[in-house]
Amino acid sequence: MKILDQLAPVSEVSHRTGPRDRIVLSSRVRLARNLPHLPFPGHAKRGDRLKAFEQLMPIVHGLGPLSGGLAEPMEKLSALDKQLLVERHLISREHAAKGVGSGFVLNREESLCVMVNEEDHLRMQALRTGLQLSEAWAAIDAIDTSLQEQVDLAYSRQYGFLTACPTNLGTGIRVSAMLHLPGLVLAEQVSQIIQAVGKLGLAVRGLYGEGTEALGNLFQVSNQMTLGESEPEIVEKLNKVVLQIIEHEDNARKSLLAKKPRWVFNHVGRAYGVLCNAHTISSKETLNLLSMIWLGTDVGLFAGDTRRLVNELFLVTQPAHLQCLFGTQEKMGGDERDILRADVLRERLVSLARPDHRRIEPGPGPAGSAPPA
Amino acid sequence: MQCQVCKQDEATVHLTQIVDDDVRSLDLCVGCAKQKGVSDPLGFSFADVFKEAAPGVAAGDEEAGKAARATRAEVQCSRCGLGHADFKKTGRLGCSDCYEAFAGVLDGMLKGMHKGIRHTGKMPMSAMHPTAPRVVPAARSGGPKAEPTGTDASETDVERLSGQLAEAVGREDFEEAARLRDRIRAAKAAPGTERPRNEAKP
Repeated sequence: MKILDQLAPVSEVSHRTGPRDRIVLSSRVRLARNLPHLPFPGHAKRGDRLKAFEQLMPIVHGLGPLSGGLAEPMEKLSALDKQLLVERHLISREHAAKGVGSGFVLNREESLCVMVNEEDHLRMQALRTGLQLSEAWAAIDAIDTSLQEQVDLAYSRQYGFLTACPTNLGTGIRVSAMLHLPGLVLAEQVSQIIQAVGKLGLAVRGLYGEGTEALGNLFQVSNQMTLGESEPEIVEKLNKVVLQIIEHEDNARKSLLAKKPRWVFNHVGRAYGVLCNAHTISSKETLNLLSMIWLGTDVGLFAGDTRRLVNELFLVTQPAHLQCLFGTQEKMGGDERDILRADVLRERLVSLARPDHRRIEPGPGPAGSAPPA
Repeated sequence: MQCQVCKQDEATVHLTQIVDDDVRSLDLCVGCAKQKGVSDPLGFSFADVFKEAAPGVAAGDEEAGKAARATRAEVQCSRCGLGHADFKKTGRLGCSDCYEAFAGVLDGMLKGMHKGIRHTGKMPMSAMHPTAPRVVPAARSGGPKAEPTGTDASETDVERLSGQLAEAVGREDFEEAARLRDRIRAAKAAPGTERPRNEAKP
């Protein structure tokens, strides 16, 4: 099957909006759950994995908000389909490597996604655009409650919900927010922020989660501790920290524009120049330069709302999306993709007028970060 | 030189261990060395031999030490068969029973990893009604609700035993740990004696 036909079109995805989405791309809350009577997927023999899969897939797909959605066994998906789902942040890279005995269920709105037999029997997550951690928690909490009406889960009075990895034990919750922090990166303050956040027992990771690089100035902040605190406490803590990071990011941008405006314009202008004129460009460079275009949009260097265009480009320039755009199921080489990526960027950026610093200058003193009307 | 363990035969195996500035040496006869697993570096624990060979240690302790070593070598989950070595290698447990099998190892680990070592979050409905039949519970809206409860004798027992278990593991007394684990299991399994704690947040 072709998974892309089942997913919302890129144009629709790039139009999704939410509170504080200038800096917070998305909020997600994930719960890890297991069956009590079967070994965890990583230690289970094929037969036991299949038993868990066959028991859970129909139950999960039958849960109110997920019914009518997509439910697929992993072995039915091509490598390209799996990569698409990773690029949309609907499944983990680890899950993409799974085959027989694993599956995923996605609701129509693409706001709830359940991985069956990832590291745990169930990894259920709720996604929201912008900063909506409590809303995401409420959504996944409801799914979890209705799940528990149908199936007994591995639970101990002392340790709470039992998970394959002790780092997820107890609540099994991972609350995370994806943040765009170009101001803090340019001001060279981001490592301080990461350290401070780390001291609070939270983790900062790159675009695709654990062990990935911070591309495009995108950082994922999430809780590490899952035992000894309640879910609402964890959600609230992360929410507070994210609000503080937003404030620091805003301040960094204001201070950069006040102290070194030309330096900021230079970054945005050069990014525009390269993206509009390159004939071969890597995914990594694209993300980093698009981040600058996005920053330019936020501070008002571009006319009109370029945010959707940037959102769209963020997605379509990822390897699997790019490949789908050209309608081939065969795996393209990296060089070939880099050329196509540059073609797509040149073509789509034709509609974007050059950044103009006069839009936010003259006038020394702190420049507002809100785009002028 | 006499063997420090059997104090009979000639010591021909000499071991020296230096930890920081503390130099300790051990002289064993071939028989005792084999028995202690000195010829098999993987199965050999210097500390255990020392403990037994230390002067003033009662003769009975040697047996206990041996048993403890045997238990540790075999610490594995009786249900899924995951061994301690597998757990150390992957950092992943094999099944939900592993949490009991490795309780000793886990407690110390969890303390460094989490805010607490006791779950204070959402509870499944089945855990709040342990005496009720474990069939599909009646549908309820909203999250789980806590029920008021006083202190419970068996709950306190389990806590006390868990404390002793952690201590036993701390001093590597795995035999005692195994006994305590079984007692905890029995206490937990006693029907109707355990009631939910008032921990769920609204």
